[in-house]
Amino acid sequence: MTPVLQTQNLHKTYSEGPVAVHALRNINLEIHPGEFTVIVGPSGSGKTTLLNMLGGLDTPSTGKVWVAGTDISELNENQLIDFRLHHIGFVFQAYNLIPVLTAEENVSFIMDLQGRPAAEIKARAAEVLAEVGLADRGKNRPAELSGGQQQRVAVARALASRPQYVLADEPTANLDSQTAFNLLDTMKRLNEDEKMTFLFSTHDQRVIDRATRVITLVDGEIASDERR
Amino acid sequence: MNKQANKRTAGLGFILRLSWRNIWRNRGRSLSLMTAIFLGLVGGTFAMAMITGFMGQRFYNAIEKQYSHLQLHSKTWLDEGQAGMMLPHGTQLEDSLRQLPAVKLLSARSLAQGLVASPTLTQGAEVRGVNPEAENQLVALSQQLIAGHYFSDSAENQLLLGAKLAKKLKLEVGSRLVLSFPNAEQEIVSAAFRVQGLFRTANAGFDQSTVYVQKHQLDALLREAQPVYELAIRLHELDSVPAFTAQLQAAYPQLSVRSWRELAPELAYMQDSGSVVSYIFVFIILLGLSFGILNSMLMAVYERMREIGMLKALGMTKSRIFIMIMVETLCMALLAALAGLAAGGVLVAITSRTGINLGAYADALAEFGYDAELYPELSASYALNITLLVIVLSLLAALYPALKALKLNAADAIRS
Repeated sequence: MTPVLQTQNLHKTYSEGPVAVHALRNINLEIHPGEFTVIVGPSGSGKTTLLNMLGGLDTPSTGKVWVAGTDISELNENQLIDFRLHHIGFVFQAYNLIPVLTAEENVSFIMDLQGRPAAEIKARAAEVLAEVGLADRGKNRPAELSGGQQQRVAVARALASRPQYVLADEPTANLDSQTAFNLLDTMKRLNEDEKMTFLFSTHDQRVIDRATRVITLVDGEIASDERR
Repeated sequence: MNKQANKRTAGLGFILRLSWRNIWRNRGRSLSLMTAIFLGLVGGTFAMAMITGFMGQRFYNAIEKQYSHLQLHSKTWLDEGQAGMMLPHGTQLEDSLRQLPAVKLLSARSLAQGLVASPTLTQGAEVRGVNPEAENQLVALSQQLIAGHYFSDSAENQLLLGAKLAKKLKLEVGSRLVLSFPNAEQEIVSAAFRVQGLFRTANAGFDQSTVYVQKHQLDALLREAQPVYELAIRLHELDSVPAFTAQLQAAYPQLSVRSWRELAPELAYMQDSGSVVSYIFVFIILLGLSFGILNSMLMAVYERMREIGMLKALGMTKSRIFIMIMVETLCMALLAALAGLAAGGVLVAITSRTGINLGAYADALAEFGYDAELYPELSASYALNITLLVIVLSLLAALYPALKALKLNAADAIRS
């Protein structure tokens, strides 16, 4: 099966004064469609840096990142923004919804920016809101929703444009246990029903328990890559 | 091509909607900024209308009530100002000019430099001999009387005296005085006149140094047969003055033909630079306000760092983020500015009908050629020009905050 995401000898080095900090070393990965992968590791192990590389939010010092046949490490900033718009979904730790837009508008705007027809946007927004269990909250603004509901809206936003994969950076960190379980169940269901590829960076054991693959990073290197 | 255009305009509706809602995100801050712009524009518009009104009035007073559009003199009179230095063949010249289609009104005057003597004081003055009817048509002299009456048909020597001069000489309507001036033979002639009326023009200097008598009475004293020292002309069109003046000067090279621009250079300067001055005034107000806009938008960008970073991460291009900040600024500034222009316009419309009474400062205003009743006025192009100015300045003010937003690193901003 063709991987949706592939890295080749990925290195990221930061300079801190005269000292070179190797945040990532020789990362070689293949993520296949439908995988529910978590990247774990202690703080400073390079999880966030790797996620930034895989999401096109940062460029590697050396090495390549291939997404659906495109080497995104070669793209300039504007090309990367455009690439993210069309190919990658994001869920952030702090929800990051736009407070002046309704849940429906928060879910729709990426499709708006992609230039999709209004009717398609409306139908798809309703569909994904229903999938995350918020069919009746489309007209509510984020301030009128609970933390869990806001993160569901963020998941719906990430899924709405049917990206190649969804990157989720500590999505449950700000949620209580029950809300986190519900959200993870929803994401797992979407993973199974829609064959959506998820890639998490997390410390949360609840996420790790649901993963089909666990990649452990230590000091910027892959220490283990376990498929379940 | 079409696909490219679609790509460029994709999400424009969303950006406009987001910009509009962002304005009302911090309602207090936006409203205070908009109030400042609104009040600035109301004040600026009204001040500009007052300046324009003052200038228009000054111009009207000077042209319609004093200088007319152009004047003809003999060159020697202008150099030396002595009796006998009249326009050659003055009455024939008057008649032929009156026939010209461009000429609307014309008044032939006799002039003499002399002394006005009251029982207690003496003062130098220019004596203007005028045909009452022609002069009244040309400069509305009778309307400028503040006491007494205009010239009557009586054979008595009547005189109209500037109110300032009357006060100085302690004269009033009905008082008698003596005018003395040299005649054509350079002999000093004197005659007693009765003050028929007191006039006040918008030019205090003129009021302090001018007396009007009837032309035939002055001519008799000058011992000249129908002399014409000055021909004052009003044309049908103000715009045709320069060409007409040039034509006349070419036709009568031995005479001095001067348009109002030469008769009152300060008026010409005011006319040329007046609107620029008032635009500079409004520009300074708007410049001050644009720093308020800059500050407000900078705060808005700093408050929304994470959100802007998130938008960038999710695929909003730099140009779209730039447009979002610009549209937000422009909407806020334009809305407030248009409301300010409208309110200022209403204020001007009302006061231009009722007038603003500045009676308390009448004397001081008259020193500079202004009436005590001010009618503010606005030119038609004002609203358009100010709107353009607001657009340009608010976009410039938004530039720095917008560029700040563009420099945000998406990954850092999300975690900030």
